[in-house]
Amino acid sequence: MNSRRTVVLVALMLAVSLILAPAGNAAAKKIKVAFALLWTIDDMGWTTAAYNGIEYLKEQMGDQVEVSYTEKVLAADAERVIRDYARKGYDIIFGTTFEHMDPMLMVAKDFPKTVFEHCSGYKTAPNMGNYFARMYQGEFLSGYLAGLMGFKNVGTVATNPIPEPIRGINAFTIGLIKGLKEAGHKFDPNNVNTVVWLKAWRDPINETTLAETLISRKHDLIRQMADTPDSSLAACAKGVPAIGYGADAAKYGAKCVLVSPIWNWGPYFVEVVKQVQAGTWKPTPYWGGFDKNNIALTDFNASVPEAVRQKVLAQKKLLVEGTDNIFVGPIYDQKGKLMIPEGKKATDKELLTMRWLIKGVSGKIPD
Amino acid sequence: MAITIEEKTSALHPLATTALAVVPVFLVGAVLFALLGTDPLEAYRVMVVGAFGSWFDFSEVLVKAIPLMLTGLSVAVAARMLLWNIGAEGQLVFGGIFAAGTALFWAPHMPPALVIPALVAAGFAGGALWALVPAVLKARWNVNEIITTLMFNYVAIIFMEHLYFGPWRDPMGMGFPGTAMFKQVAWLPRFFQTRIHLGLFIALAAAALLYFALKYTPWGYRVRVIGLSDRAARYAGFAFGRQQVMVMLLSGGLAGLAGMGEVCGIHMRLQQGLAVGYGYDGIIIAFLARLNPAAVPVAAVLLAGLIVGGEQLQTATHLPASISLVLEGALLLAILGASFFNRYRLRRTRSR
Repeated sequence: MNSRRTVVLVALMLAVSLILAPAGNAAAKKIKVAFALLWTIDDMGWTTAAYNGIEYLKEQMGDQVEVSYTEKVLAADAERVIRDYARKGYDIIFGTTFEHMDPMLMVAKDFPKTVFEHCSGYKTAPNMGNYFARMYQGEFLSGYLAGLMGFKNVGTVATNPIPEPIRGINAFTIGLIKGLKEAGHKFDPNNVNTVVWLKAWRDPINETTLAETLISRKHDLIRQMADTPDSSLAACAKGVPAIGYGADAAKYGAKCVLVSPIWNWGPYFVEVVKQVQAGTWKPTPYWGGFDKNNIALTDFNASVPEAVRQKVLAQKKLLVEGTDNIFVGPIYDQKGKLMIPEGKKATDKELLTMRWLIKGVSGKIPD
Repeated sequence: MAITIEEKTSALHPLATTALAVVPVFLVGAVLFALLGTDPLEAYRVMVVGAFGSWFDFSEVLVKAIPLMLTGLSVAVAARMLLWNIGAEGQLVFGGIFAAGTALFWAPHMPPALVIPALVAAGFAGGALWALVPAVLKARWNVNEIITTLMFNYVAIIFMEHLYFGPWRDPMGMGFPGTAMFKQVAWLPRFFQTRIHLGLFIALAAAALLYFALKYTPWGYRVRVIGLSDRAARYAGFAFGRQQVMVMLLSGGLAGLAGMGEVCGIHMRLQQGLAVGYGYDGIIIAFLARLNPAAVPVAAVLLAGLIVGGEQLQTATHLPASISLVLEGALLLAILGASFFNRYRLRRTRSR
């Protein structure tokens, strides 16, 4: 073959591919994605984290997606909002809070071609999956950091007494005790972390009151668990360090926060959209952690010593690589009963239904 | 210099004042939209189309209006007797609790035909029960019902939370708060392939009944007289305290029906998200309707349209979700202001 003909051929092929390429893109349908959000996008916590994920999705997928969202979708309105999106031809609908589960299930039955994704629940359907993130991994790392720094009388402002926060309190305490032991601090094995309950996901006034009460009882570190940063803010105002939660508490004025474990939904949103584009989406119960980049740690506070940072990051690396040995026995409950035997690892089902606090936690699960 | 309040000699028709009061609210809204960088006309268009533009949207406005009608009637009937029931929220919750208890524990052992009537009765009874203590306190010892009914709201909500976090929690629910979903026999029937449920007809029937009862029965006459002048009523020898208790029970029962409708018609379970302020919205509706039961459904549909339309606006333009709350608050303020200025005028006087 002579070289001129080759050049012409290549040029022709290039031209054809250039003509075909945009046509191919135009043929790929724009995916319409909708989100039903629990609260307002500036709630500095849960919904802000979801919104950051939405922004990430838009950034990553650009023209390939059309995104809409509705704020403050409470239980009574969930079915209307979700059904409305389904009727308007949205391809994927995300329900981002527990109460969206049953309404979403009802709508999913009527719109078999629409993909539904529900956060933090347990029910699925042929066209409805659920997803959640292993926040307990981030909570474990925060506890580990606090232990290494010698905090042995933590006050935790907890939210609702259900498995998710309970698991988080336990993971934090496991990390805390591990850190205290490694750094050689003396501590009371029955009482390193005192828990009080808001019985709400967000309640700024009570968050402040409870944090101040804990500080007046000489707790040396305040752990925020609410969606709003007010318990961390209260700690900072009293000169006590804090651990943030959910979104970057330091960004909202809590400068004393040592670190915040945060939700990182964006990568999962992108993954789902890509699967739907490719036609490979299947309803799964999805529970990703550091391994799937669904959880992250914020930057450390300047006061965290370099040696501590290195140790925490080394533990994080294990989690990123997929080694999660946080709930490996022997683990005892508050009464000293062996709950997870030596060498055994708690199953996901056990983690998802956890209703007991581990030894070292002070405070009860209210009924 | 001081300002005094004087009664006016002439006044506009109440409906005219209400209509006039709506105008400044829309102006306030328009300014707000403009400040947020949205074309006000376009914003209102989105709201109106979003709420009334299609049968689906309108059906959802009606769904939203069901609890609002009942809490509106609840507040209105008490206010006709100068009883200020701020406790519709708690009574709604208690109606919901009673209905949920009936649905969970009794419905499976009942002839199916009796389940729905039992739920309705339970809802009414729950709400009435929750109004009983404030009613008796008011009638016997003249304890201010604004305070007691308001405080009872918090007790009711905490009690409900105790139930679905504790003894009534769904054993299969992975520890999440909320009761199990009711058996289908305890779901209120839905109509027209929408979420409109039996509660709509209960609410409309209650509005019609109250309208006629207040206008044409001796009981209604007594209520109206007491509302106009308690001294006249005492002079006429009406059993004052008993009337107060009766009306408060009725008021509580109506709010209880709203809770029953939400629990058995929308949620199908007792869970977070029942106490979302419909009881307080009822206050706005009652005054929007000038305490006239026949006008309550209309006012409820308008407010529901504002809420649903506001949500559509939020979805379409991503304005803050609080917009409809701002408009709602402005509406109440404007109506109260308008009815005040319709009866009184302010006058500057020289202080001596």
